[in-house]
Amino acid sequence: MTRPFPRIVPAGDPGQLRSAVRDWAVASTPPGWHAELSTATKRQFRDFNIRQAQLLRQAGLLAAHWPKEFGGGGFSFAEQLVIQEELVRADFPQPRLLEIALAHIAATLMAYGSAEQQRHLAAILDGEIWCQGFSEPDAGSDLASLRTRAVRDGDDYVVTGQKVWSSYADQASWCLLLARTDPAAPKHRGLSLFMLALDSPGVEVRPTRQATGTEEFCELFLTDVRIPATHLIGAENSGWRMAQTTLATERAFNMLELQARLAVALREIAAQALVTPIAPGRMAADDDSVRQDLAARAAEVDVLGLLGQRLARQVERTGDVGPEGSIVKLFYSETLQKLTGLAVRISGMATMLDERREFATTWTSGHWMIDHLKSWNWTIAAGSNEIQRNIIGERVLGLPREPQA
Amino acid sequence: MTTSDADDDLRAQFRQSVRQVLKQASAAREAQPVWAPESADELVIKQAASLGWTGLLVEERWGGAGAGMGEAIVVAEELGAHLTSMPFLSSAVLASTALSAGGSAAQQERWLPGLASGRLTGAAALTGPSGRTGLTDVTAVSERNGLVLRGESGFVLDGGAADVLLVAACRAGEPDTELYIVESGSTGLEVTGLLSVDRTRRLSRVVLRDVRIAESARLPRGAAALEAMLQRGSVALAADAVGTARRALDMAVDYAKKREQFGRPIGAFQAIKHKLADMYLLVQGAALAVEGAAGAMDAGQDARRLVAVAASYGRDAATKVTGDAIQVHGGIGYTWEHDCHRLFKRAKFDEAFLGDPSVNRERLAALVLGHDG
Repeated sequence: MTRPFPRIVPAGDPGQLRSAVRDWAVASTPPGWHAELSTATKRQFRDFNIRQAQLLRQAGLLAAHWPKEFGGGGFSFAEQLVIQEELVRADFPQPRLLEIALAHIAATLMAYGSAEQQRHLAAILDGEIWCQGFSEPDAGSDLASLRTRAVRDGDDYVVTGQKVWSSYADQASWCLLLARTDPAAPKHRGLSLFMLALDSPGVEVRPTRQATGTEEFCELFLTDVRIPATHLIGAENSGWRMAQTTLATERAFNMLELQARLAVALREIAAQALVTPIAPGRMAADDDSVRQDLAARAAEVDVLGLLGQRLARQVERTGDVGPEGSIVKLFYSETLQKLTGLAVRISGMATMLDERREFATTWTSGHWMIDHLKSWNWTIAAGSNEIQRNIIGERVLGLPREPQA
Repeated sequence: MTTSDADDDLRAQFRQSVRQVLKQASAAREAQPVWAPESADELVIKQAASLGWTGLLVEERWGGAGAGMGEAIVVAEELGAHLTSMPFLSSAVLASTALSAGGSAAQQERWLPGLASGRLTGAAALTGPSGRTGLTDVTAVSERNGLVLRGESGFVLDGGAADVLLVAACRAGEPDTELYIVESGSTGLEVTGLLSVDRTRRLSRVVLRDVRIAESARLPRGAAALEAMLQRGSVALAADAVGTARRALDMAVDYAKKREQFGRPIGAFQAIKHKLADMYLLVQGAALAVEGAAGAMDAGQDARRLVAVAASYGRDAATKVTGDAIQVHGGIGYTWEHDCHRLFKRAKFDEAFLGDPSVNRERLAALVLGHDG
């Protein structure tokens, strides 16, 4: 493919950046990709993701948020917002499989990784896929109670346990693993972070079929898996704090794209309401209750946009996401749930039909019932909304902590 | 430091100064009989004039500050938070905006300097007896030597004390509502005080029995004036509502930290903690919506969408938050002595006045669906 476009770099003028990204995204979005992916196998989905990542990389837009010294774009948070808005506007398919690696795996390695561990950053840019091994069957919201054990044995740690809700683990080659190294310490203080190569002996990955009918999450069964001690990230027993920091980053980074995507979804729903008949000569858009709902959702999408901009400014000022990330995550996921719920209501029976898919590839696929189902992924994952409310209550409003077991 | 950071800092300083004045006044406020409006905060009214709040939205050539909605919402929000009773929305926002946006040079010269300095106050009589925006009852009839106004206007905020009323009326045979200037004391003008559930607000019924006015009392750009009043008024109201909500949230958080049941502060329980987190989210979102709308207006952009967002989301948020604050306080929050109910009532007033959130959602829907712009 010939590329008439120069590499996109941070520009002083946001308008200039916007038009550069817009031109590139329009020209680079593969036509018919929705149809291509609707029948894709996992293998094809993976190849497609890597291809998209390389396209972004050539344009200088992959890892836009990474500092330049790690091979990233060095764009400011506000500039990333512009980039995401334009990619979403053009319907450019983003490399979903690399998202975890690009967001908080990278954030963790940059902040806490050894020089050797940081070599994975270059590999991620080349398409190395990562997953996360945090949650367990008995450790969801109470993540710190997790039981997967890592026992030091010579130059290795020997790991045994079970992880759940590990997105795309069956596609990944590496896992950021949180495991218990000191069972005697208070539960938050005995955890460590590891890089786990998923082709290690003793690792079994089993996909979990979700409510949407597709398999994106996986279970990880770890039986006497040996992890070299050089793959311990940071100090032993300091995993909890690192995981918290990177989870906050994950929340903030994802939100930029998601927020832009919601605004597009709102426009699609409005367009649909105008052409969806609900009675002879009457469209959904003529119905007062639909109009009221649509406007209420539009207001929420707009307010979410303003929250995102404020978050961007705060990160610019302080370099820290902080509890603001919780506010945006909570607001986003509940707005998504209500908005897709409205779309289901407008679509009626038309959205009650299912089709076989291997992957639901975007958060707003346009199949509103599936998107609506997927919204529970957002209200539950990355710290359930109840946990976010605890964070806001305790860290922002200064309310007393929950009694700890 | 970026421009917007500098703006933020200036605005924060301005907010501090507003707060200082209002805090002193609320400390000095005396309890009033139950079946009467709370007395106007004369102390604040005096200082407001000298500090220039009354002239925030009036151009400098008429003695105003030539500031914008960015400043007006700061004052409005603090007035709501401090439950202040003064003619800010009625006079400094609605009447001043009507004359600025739609008045002739002569009308502006006659009234704006007085309104800006606080020497005079104005009020707007925009609705008929139903109180619904867009439904006027007053008609204007041309007669020899001028016009005659006839009809009734309901729910006129601060109408009783106003020196000048901006009256919305329809002229026979004309489709558009227009605005007319009626001076207090005009023959045939009857202004009766009404007791508002929100005791911090003073409402009147205005009856016009063949009130004679000159042709020159008609605002030449009535439609523009009405649109501007509605936009600025809705955002200022939403700001007032955000103020009530922020204060209610602060009180509820404070209370949840102090009040103990089952051996620990009630704020440790998720039932309360999560409610407070949701309230916080609503306050943050509502405040951003109001700031966004004010910012768009001051930048001269098409602000219709953000105004509708602020006027719907912002005001809904405030009634939810002030209501939930009563719940968090339990029985004590339900007593007359407590400010909870006063904040809730003020938020409900803010919600209903100048077109409720549903009306604004309908405007927003029209914009989203592309029927209107």
